[in-house]
Amino acid sequence: MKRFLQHISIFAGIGILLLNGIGYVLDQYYGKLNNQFVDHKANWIFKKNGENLDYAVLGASRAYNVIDINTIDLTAGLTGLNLGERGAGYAECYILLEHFLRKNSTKLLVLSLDYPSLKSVESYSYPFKEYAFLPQFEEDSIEFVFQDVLPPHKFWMYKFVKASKYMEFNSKYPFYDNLIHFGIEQEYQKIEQSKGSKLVNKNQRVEGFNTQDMEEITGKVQFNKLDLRYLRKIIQLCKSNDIELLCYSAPLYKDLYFARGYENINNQIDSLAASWDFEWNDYSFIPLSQQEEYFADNSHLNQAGAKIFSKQLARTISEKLKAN
Amino acid sequence: MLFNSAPFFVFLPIVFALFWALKNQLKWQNLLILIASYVFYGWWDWRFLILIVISTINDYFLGNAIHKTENQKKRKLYLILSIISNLGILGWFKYCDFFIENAIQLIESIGLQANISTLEIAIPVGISFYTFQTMSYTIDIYRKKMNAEKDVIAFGAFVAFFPQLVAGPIERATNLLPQFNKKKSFDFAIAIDGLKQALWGFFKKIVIADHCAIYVDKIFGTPDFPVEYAELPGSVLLMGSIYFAFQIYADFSGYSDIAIGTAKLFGFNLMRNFNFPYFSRDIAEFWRRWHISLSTWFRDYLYIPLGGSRGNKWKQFRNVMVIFVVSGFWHGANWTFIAWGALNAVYFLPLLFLNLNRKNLDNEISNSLLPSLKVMLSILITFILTCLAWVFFRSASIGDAFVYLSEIFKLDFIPDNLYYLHPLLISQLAFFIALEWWNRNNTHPFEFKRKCHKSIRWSIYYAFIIIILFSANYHESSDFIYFQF
Repeated sequence: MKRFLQHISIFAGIGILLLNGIGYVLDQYYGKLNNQFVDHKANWIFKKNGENLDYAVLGASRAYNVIDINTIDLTAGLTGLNLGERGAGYAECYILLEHFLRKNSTKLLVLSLDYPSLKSVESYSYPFKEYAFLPQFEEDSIEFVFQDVLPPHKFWMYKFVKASKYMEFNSKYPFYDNLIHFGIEQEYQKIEQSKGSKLVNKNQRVEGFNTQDMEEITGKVQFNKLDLRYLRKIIQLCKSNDIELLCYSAPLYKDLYFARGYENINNQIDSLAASWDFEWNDYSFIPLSQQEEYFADNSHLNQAGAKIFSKQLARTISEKLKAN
Repeated sequence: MLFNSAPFFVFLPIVFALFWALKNQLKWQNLLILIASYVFYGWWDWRFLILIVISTINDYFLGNAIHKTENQKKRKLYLILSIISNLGILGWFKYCDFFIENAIQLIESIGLQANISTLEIAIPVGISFYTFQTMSYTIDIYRKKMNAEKDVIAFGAFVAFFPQLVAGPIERATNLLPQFNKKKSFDFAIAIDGLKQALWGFFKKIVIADHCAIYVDKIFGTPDFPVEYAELPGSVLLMGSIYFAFQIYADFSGYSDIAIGTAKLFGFNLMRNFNFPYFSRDIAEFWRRWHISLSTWFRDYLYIPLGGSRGNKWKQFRNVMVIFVVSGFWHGANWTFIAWGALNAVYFLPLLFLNLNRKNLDNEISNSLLPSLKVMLSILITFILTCLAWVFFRSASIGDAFVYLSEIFKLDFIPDNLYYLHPLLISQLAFFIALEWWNRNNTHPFEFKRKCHKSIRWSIYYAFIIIILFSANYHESSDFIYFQF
């Protein structure tokens, strides 16, 4: 038995060393390629260099799919980018912004802030897409977020068995496929043209909306602590970089608005904005919310709706920039 | 608990450590195996543990009752009771809804209203395996091939032995049960061999079977994403059946290898379940090499009692049809499995009537590096016949299977969709076949018979482990196909 345990220990020890070696090689390989094979906006944002923007938009799909940068730029004569990514919680948004600001600058950050984004764990299917940042895991700021967000066993595994992160996400980093397929780059060329926005050209609003959740019905909700923590970190990041912050909630279709106790929810967000000292503009129930033809679904404007809303937002952004 | 899941990799070292910590305390070791096996099974659904307990207690007492009496009538009665209770449990949980469903269809086909409905009974994992294992115990006592087990804990551990509980090999009491009564001393070489065999099993399951499954599901369709076979070229459908042949083989034989390897860690020797079946030269040979524990079970407990290949042609025909159809039905309560069994019988009967069914008995296909053209051709024909039969096994209904087969033969054999010929999968399969062929005289490829330096051996193990680790799906569990049986 002793011999068996010795053998197994030596074998496992060498195995861990080997996996760390492989992890190191993969970190170099994927890191140099700037995440170009990962289907995530990080791969576009991390390549940005020397952008001096008037404003940048950040948030989940209610930023990415709903704010049309071309419309805002044309309306207000500004230069902006949409850094939003679908289903991104604030921890993910924080990484995207922090990375972007290393080589670029913006005067104003337009941040999507609403009920789903403050409860990202429940609202989004995958609010922290760690796979998008694996090659950058060793960077202090990213490692810090990983430690904060991931379960401890997973974090320590990533840290001490470097290859384990690529093993776990072998479908996102399929070594063989990456060598022969270069498709994702092309996808992000389209995003470059739209300055990071991806509008939805459909009108398939889900009929009706009912919630069984008492919290949602009464509107007395508990926001997610992790989201609040990273919202705060985004605010601090803006302050330390002299960036003005403008938070907004994009329009919701009226059914959704009335099904949930949004009046109470939004009052809570108002209180949060007051206590943390940032500006929050609530567009969730503007007249556009009444018009079904402008919605792709209950919580997302479609292309036509996004253009109308972006025009409205352009005025606010312009005023905010002029005021400072 | 799945072999290819994180809890198993915590569970196994704990049980292993406790087991060998109880060295020389056989009763405690058996109790540990029993508890561990119940935890292993209960991880899936603890409620169905009651069935294993019932089966264990029932056969424990009936086995002892058969053994104690010399009265032939009583012995027969106890045996019948054992068979009825085991088949009763199996029948109720596995086949009840099938019979109700068919009764409804039959009643409605003659224009009557059927006022019954299916019971939607959940099928307990591995029920077909452990009921057959316990039946072999009482039958063997009845046949006076073995004595009844006195120790209920040892018997319980035999019935529920976790490495082979849910998907076999279906062990014979004559082989496995005595091992629970034999003091074990740790054998380094056997334990290492067990780990190697388990590694090979994981490679088969995770790299070959799960990779094939992606394409099989896309070609055959799934309940959520059905496929219109008419829209796919015949070449793709043929590929689908070949991929499925590899999927089911790698999946099931992979499970068996992990089970046998795991059992070796505890000093148990389980029977071999697969012997490179796709290198068979005819269907009879295929059935001697495929799911050996089940085919020999049916041979010993059904085919031979029916008369086997003795008697006139009609009796031979009847016996072959019975054993293949029952074997198909054992797999699942669906006409597709029965058709699969019947089709294999159709393949087998000409060999039987021409006295060719025992032509290829030698285990070693050939000692040369490559097979002769004649052998290669016979292997290829057997493989294609098997692939066509697998279509019934994989299809949701008989109708689907016939459509699938007819679409294969529509002769548009130009692969218009290279997606299905993924170079990685093709190269994996080619490597797998080559490795199997190269090692056809061993139980697994890591049995280095020639002297091979440790550094080379270890490099090979690491290479396989890395391939497995980088192929596994860590976010979705991938069941073994035979769990459902």
